Amino acid sequence: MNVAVKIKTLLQEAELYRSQGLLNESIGKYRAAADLLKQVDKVKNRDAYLEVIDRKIRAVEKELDAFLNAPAAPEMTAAVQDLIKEKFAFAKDADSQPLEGAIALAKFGQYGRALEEFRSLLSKDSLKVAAAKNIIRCHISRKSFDEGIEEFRRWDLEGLFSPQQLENLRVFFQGLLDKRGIEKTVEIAQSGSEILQEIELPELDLQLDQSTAGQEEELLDISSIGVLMEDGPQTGERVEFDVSFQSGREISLLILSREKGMIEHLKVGTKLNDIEFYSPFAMFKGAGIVTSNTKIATGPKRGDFSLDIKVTST
Amino acid sequence: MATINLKNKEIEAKIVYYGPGRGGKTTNLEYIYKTYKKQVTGEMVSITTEGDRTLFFDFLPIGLGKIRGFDVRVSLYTVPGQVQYSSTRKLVLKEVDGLVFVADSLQVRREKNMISLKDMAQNLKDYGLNVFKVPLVFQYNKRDLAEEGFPILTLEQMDKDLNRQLKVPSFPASALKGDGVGVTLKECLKLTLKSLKNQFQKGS
Repeated sequence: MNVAVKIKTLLQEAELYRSQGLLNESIGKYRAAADLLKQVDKVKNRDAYLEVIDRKIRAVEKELDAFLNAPAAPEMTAAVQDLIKEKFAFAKDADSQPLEGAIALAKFGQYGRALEEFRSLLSKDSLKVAAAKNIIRCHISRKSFDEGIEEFRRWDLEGLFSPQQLENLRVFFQGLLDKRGIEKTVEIAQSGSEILQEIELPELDLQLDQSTAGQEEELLDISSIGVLMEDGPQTGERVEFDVSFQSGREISLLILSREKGMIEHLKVGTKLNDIEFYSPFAMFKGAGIVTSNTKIATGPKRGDFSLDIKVTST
Repeated sequence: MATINLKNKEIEAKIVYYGPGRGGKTTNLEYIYKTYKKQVTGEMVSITTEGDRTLFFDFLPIGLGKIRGFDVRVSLYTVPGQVQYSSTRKLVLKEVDGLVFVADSLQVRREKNMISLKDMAQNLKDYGLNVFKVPLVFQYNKRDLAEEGFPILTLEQMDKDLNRQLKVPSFPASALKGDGVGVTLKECLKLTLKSLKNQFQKGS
């Protein structure tokens, strides 16, 4: 093909790709056209043509920059937010739907509206802890750390949560801040034990409510965990594992056969006292115990190990 | 997962248009919105960037009328195709009942098609779904660009790249002109309703 025709074709393709919004492809074709033009010696007004191509490349690069630097999740209209809340809450029971709707808003980056929705759920006993954790998560995502700490203080002052719940929330919040290297401290104004010392407790006949005995608090979906190894070849290191399966408080991990050294130290019954649990939407600390350690005998994962951990506390 | 209300005799299903960025997913919905006015039951919602790329999703509700005594309503969604929107794509894909994969016929987008398909399969897997079992059709879009002399992949090559193992229905299309849009959707709806019927019969 004649060089001039080749260059023309490349320029046409560059224009097409630009019109299609395929900006990287467009830049590629413009550059190929410019490179070809530079190789041809006797072209009248070659420098002028190269200048034109260069201007086009810069214009497309500007478009690409604008796209790459656009806000990841601009705040949408109320109507769009209502749609997100309605269409992305998949809970079957009516009680959980408001929480799921609010979580969907947060996942779409609509933090302002999500915070409103979560706050409205703080009055519901069955949802308030989950709502509070998600409020904390929203503050972390939008980097409103001081606002989040202030909100936590208000929960403390208003006695919105039991001492145990508040402490769990504090640990959760502090963990998220520490993970991001944010040097701020979440404190409880008065610890539960101090409050209890001020109150004369009557003699209590503590009997478990049979209807709730044995029930465990539901865990968020965990996508991976980080275990602080207390034994074995990686003692003192925090090792991350992806969760392959989760059922209630039992999680399953897949450990590759080449990690055999680690596997030998994760026997059934091994207590893991420092685990960080990473869900798509929150991180929290806890502990667990190894309940099963099995070598996979068949299938594509043959030779690897399946490790089951029961989460004992969060 | 589709909602089947036996008392009110209503079925609500979700179909998602998936595929690489700028491949024509939104154009498909825009054509459906413009052309099938009798079936469209609400406004099309498009959440886009300033450059008209889908940012979150497009949404279009359609009604198919009564089928075997059930009022069938379908929500059509598109996902954002660009690589950086992967978490949003996953969100939109949740509880999907049927899929249209809109592949870009331009040669220069060949790899992007395959990456997007792999991404879709992984997201389905993360939801406990198998890409081999979810109702799926392929649309090979932008066939019209061949007439303008632009290098496009042959249908055989696209089938080989994307459909060799899945072996699902595939349709050539030009969403901008409307060619192939209706037939793609119709086949996806057919497969989706058939799948829902099978699931319902297994469950009852």
